[in-house]
Amino acid sequence: MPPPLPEPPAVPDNAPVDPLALLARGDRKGAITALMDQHGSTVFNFCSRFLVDRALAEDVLQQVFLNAYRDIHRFEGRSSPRTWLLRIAVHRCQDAIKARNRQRVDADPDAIHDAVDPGRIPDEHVEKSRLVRALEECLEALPRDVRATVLLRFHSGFSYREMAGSLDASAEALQARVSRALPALRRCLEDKGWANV
Amino acid sequence: MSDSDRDPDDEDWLLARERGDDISHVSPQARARYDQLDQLIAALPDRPPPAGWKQRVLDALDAPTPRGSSDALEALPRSPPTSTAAAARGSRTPIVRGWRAWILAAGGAVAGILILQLVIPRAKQAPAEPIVTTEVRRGEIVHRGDDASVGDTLVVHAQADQPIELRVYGDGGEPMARCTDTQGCTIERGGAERRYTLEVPLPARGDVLTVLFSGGAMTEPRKDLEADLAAARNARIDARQVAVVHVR
Repeated sequence: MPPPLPEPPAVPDNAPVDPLALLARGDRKGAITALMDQHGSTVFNFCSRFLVDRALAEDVLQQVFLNAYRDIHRFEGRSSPRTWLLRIAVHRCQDAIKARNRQRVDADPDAIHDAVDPGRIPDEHVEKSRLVRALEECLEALPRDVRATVLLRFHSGFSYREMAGSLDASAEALQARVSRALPALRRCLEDKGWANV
Repeated sequence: MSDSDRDPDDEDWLLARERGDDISHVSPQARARYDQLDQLIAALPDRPPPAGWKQRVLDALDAPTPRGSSDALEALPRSPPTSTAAAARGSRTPIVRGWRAWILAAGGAVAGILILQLVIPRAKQAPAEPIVTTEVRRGEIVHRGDDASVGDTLVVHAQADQPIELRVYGDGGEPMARCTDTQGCTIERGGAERRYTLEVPLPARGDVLTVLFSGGAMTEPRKDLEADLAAARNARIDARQVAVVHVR
């Protein structure tokens, strides 16, 4: 009877799977599954706030990872997978906006704000929810590219180098964009009655 | 915070901050205001992706590629004609559909249109949403993409059955062109319908934004896009960015 095979090294159940390692082994589907596990939420959050349309963001989310699956063999690792995915997401979101404009479909504000239901949240959170709603409206009023930059910088926590890789702009241009956007956001909040933000 | 408290140099020191330069000369109060704003954006509540989305992607990868298409993207459903909260909350349509489903769907759509034409009375309809399309002209060549070169011309077409206004802004939000019912562009009228055509030369690199104002008489242009949007908000006029062209 042959000796038993040695046990593989123990890997904690919650250890993140390296998608690039899976890709190197030829497991393209495994790699894309790992990317979805690790970055799906980031991509969806970005798209839903960028598009201001949750239903459309759901479609774009799927398109992003189908694109990633198609093109992953061209991913050279010069940027992080997150940067690469957000770059795809930015382009797909822009395509979706153009398609939506062509179809004359307006985003239903409820689609994006339905998570905030003042009738159901405790009183102590109502004020916070209103502030969040005001901030979301101010973000939505920003030009599309500016909104993407602010969201990536402050909500997704991207560095300017990462953002430059995702947004087809130089880090310097993005820094200038953010420095112009923040006062505009603050003024917008002030106009909505949030002077102490 | 009132206007008198506003620091006119905010943009300068914020730029320095974003570059990682020393901003110790800035008052702690001013810094705190923006730190608070940064934190507020960072703390915007996460929105969980819809249940089952990963499986739908994997299913699409496994789906047979429709004839004539290049990849699994063709297996994705198109966005619904209207995006509603109900659509957002409700279950999503599986993204894999066989050819039978497509035929059934197409047949159903045709039947639906015929029924609607028979059943719905031709009552006077509410004003339709304006339709805006843009194209870029370079000499004799016209394309519908959003990339342009310096020297190209942006052509904005709009169709509406109520007065609208189109404004085009440069990379810094500066106004470049304006088209109203009475000035700035060519207008063809047929009954209540108006067809606007606005041509804007693109003299410099950067993003050029087209904004549609509708639902009321827009105020005179202010100094930039931001001021115009604020004026529109105050006047309860709908302002919608309808196109961005990247001039390289």
